[in-house]
Parts: sequence; structure tokens; C-alpha cells
Amino acid sequence: MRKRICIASMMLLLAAGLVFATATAEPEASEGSEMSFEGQTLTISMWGYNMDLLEKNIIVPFEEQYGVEIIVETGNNSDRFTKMVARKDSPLVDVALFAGAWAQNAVDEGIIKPYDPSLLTNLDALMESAQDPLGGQYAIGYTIQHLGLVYRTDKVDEITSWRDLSRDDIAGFLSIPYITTTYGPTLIYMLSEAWAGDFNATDVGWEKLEELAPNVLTAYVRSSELNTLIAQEEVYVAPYASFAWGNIKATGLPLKTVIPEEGLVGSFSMVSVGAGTDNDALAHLYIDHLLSYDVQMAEAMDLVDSPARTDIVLPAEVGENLTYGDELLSSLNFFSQKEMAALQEEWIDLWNAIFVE
Amino acid sequence: MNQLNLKRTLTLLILPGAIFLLLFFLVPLLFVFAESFRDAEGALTLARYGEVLSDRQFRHVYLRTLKIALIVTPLAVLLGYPSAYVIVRLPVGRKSLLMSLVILPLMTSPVARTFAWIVVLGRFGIVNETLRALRLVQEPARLLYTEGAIVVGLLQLFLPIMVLTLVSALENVQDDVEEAALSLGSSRLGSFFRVLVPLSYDGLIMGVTLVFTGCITAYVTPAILGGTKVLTLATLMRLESLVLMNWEAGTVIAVVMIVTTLVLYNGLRIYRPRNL
Repeated sequence: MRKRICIASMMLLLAAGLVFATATAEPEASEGSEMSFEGQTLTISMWGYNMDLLEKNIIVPFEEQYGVEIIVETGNNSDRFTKMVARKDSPLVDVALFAGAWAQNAVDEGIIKPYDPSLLTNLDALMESAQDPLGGQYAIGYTIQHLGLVYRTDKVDEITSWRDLSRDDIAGFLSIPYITTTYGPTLIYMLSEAWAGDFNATDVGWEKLEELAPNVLTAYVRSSELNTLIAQEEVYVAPYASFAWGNIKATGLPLKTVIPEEGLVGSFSMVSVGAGTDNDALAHLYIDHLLSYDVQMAEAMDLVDSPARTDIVLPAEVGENLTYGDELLSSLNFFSQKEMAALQEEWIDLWNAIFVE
Repeated sequence: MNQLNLKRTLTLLILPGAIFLLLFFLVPLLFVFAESFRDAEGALTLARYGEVLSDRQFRHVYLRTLKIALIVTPLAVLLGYPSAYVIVRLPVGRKSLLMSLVILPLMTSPVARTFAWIVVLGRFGIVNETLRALRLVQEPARLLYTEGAIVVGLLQLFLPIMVLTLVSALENVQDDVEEAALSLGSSRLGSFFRVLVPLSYDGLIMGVTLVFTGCITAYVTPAILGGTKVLTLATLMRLESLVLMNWEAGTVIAVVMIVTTLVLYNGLRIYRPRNL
């Protein structure tokens, strides 16, 4: 009897051991699947702004976690878009980051493809509007941004409206985003709202842009250019992309940001899977990493990207520098990327007619 | 070495460079040229030229680019000739030193050089601070993002090329030629214009062509110092090709650039002033 009990106990121990072994084998298998990316490369097409911080918060942790090498292709939207279209037949990009109408252009040109939501564990943690801003699951808004207005408090009177951009006292000290940038076209909508009370009265917006053109010192193509213009005291007033605020603030000049009476422009920077990627799983893993709590928090704390996740709670002194908080978020106006993409060529012509001639 | 061997050796020496230029310069250039005369279906057409050349914005940008090149090139000649003249006549040691100084700017990135101009020409840059110290202006003058800024930037960029070309041309002129002119009663200025300039005319043509071509095709300097309001041919070509994906217009602009340069080069060669 004791022998039987002993054998039964041994069997139970063995069974328990097997169950334990099986239970511990699962994570090993999972680690094994992560390990299978070891030595692989992932090509990301993205902006170069704040690259040191992006490397610290996003790229290096991902490389270390999965043992992969990330190749970064930097440039503004239009340059990277053109490169990807030119290489459409032999694509190199696994993950592409675009903003504004360029993301829609990327869909239209077939250089990005729909993502697989089942591979993204962090997708549901995002604002609903960020989960599929273009429709068709082509892109995810991984960070929310806004086009703010900043001015030098020691040089110009208070700015309270987009109409103030036409004021005489800022003539020659205004810089605006170039028409081909993410926020270039949105300026027209805001001018239309400011003077006609209707975002869609863009004829008025263009008329007003022509009127305030003499005030414009130059239109900036990259946020780093605006940064230089402000730092060198060439520009006192400018609509700025919120992700550049950290660097603009670091100039130490007496600058103030405002929420004008017509509100601000909101937008998402979007991440997508490259249409020709042969590394779908790793591409999704990277996107999921970008959406993770840790990355979104680190980016916010460094004033690089405002969180698209709803569960990020920031200290007040950090949040006030980002697209964050009820007051600011409720002032944002979002515009159709599809419409802006369709109007792009016509609007560049209108822009050139004003500024080139 | 007999004549045949010499020819063969020269051919062998030239061949690698010629093949490189053929493959990576001439062939792509011919593609661009051919592409500018084709429509979407591949048929021959002049429609693209009609579209681009009749465009008011293009004409405006073209004339602006031409104007800038026509200001920078003579200025480079005016500043380059005296410098080259002096350098050629210096003893070897000082000549090497000055040549190094001329070459030095060419060894720095055009982007770095152009950014330096932003600091120099800025509202609180050296130029404005000097003007204010001398009480010539009350408020800082607007120097950046103007055609003037592009002219200054391009002149700095291309002056060394003009000087190097002229030094090389003047080195081939024998010293006693000028002395002969002086001994025959010519003034220094007269001997410079009537003897030295004609004898170095081929170098001058080369210098003018290089500087003019550089001005017509420069991208970085106009983009940084002119900003987005002062477009030139190169910045317009980038806009058409890389932003609007209008490669057709981009190729036409590229051909217009080449033709403009060739017209100037051949014009200077054919219509050589009579006394030169």
C-alpha cells in the first residue's frame, strides 16, 4: 500500500513537473519567437527632428529588446514620399511615418498597406480617432499634435486671433508653414474661419493669405528652420507644430503660446506598414512598441510627442507644453486629409502665384 | 615612343574617365533630354515645353535665376582677375599660401558655408551690427531671404573657382609679354586689357562658364539664403519633381538649365571680341 502511495506520489510529482515544464515552456517559446528576429533589419522612414531623443526613447530600446538593427531613413514628408514612390517596385521601407495629406497620398500611391489589428496589443489604448484616422486601417495616429501660435511677448502686442497675423506691427517678423508641409494647407482653413467664420470658405482664406503675404519673412519647410528663425530673432510670430515646442522654448526667449479665439489645428502623425515589407511581423511589433505605454510616456516627458494613448497622465509642467489637457484638446479643429491631398496641386499653384511672383 | 604608341597610351589613360562620364553623366543626361520630348504614351511632343515655358511663374523664376547669375558672374570676374594676377606674380612660397587660402572655402561644405551667412546677414549679424555701430541704419536692415543674400552667398561660393581658373590661365602667359607691351609704350592697365586678358581669354571663358553654370544650378545657397519666397530654377525643379511628382516639368527645367549654359558657353566662344 505504501509502495502504491509512493508510486502515485511520484506520478503526481512527475505530472506536476510536466505541467510546470509545459507552463514555463510557453514563455520560452515566446522568447524564442522574439529571438527569431535576432540579426534582422527593419527600415523605418521617418522625420529626423529630435532624432537623438527618438533614438533614446524608441529605437535603441527596440533594438535591444529584439536584437534587431533599425535603419532609419529621415526626411520631410514630401522627400520620403517621393523616394518610396520611386522605389515602389523594389520597396525598402518596412514602417513609414507620414502626417497630414501625405499619409493619404501614400494610401493613394499604394506605398503603405493596411495594418493587422490582431497584431497590435496597444491599439485599443489609443484615442478612438487615432486608431484609424484615414479609414481602411491604413494608418494609426501614434501621436497627436497641434498647430499652435507663438509670439514674442517683448516685441509684439498680445495675439488673440489668427486675424492678428495681418497686423502691421508684425510685418517682416512672421513665418508660416510652407504649403507642402503638414500644416501648410491647414493655415488656409484657419484664415477662412478667422475672416469668414467658415473653415470651408477657402476663397476668403487665400485672399487673406495674399493680404498678409508682405508680413511673411519666409515660409519654413522644416520645424528646425523655424527654430533657427526664432532663436536668431528673425521671427517674432509664427504658427508652429507642437512637437517643436520643446526646442523653441529652449531658446530662452520671452515667448508665449496662445489658443486663439478660432481654436487651433489638430492632427495626428501616423504610422503605417510599408506596402512591400517582407517583415510584416517585425513591422507590427515596432508599431506596437511605438504605441506602448513606456514609449508614449518617455516621448511625452521629453516634450517630443504628445501621447495618443488615453491612459497617460502627465505632470502639469510637462502637459502644458504638449497637445494635452481638456482645454487644448477641445480647441482643436481636424481637417480631412483626403480633401487636402486632392487640393494639394491646385493650392501649391495658388501659393506660388502669391509668393513666387 | 612612336606616334602610334603615344596615341594608344593616351587613349588608355583617357578611357576610364571617359567611360565613367559616359555611363554616369552622358547617358542619364540623354535620358532626361529624351524624356522631356515624350508625352505620357511615349510619343514625341513639344507639349511639355509649351506648358512649362508659357507658365508665368516659371518665366518669373527663370528671369530671376538669370538675373542672379548675370550679377554674380561679372562680379566674380572683377574680383577674380586682380587676385589671380597678383597670385601668379608672387614668389612660390607666398603663392602657395594664397592658393591654399583660395582653396580653403572649397574644402568646407556648402551647407556649412551658407549657414555661416545666416549668422553674418541676420538681424543681429556682423553686417547689421556694423551698420548700426556706424549709425548708417537705425533698425537692422532686412538682408536675409532676399535676392541680395543669394548673390552674396553664390559669389562667395564660386569666386574661388574663378580665381583658380584664371590663375591657371595667367600662368600660361609668359612674363615678358607684359614687359614687351610696357616697353612699347602701353600703360599697365592697357597691357592688362590688351595683352593679358586676350591671352587668358580661354581660361576666362571657362571660369565664366563654371560660375554661371553654378549660379543657374545651385540649390543649397538659394534654398537657405533665399528661403521659400525667392525661388530659383533649382529650387523650382525640386518642388516640381520631388514634391509635386511632376517629373515632366522637372526634366524640362533641367534641359532649360543645360541649354542656357550651353548658349552662354558657345556664345562666348563664337562671338569672341575682335581685339581678343
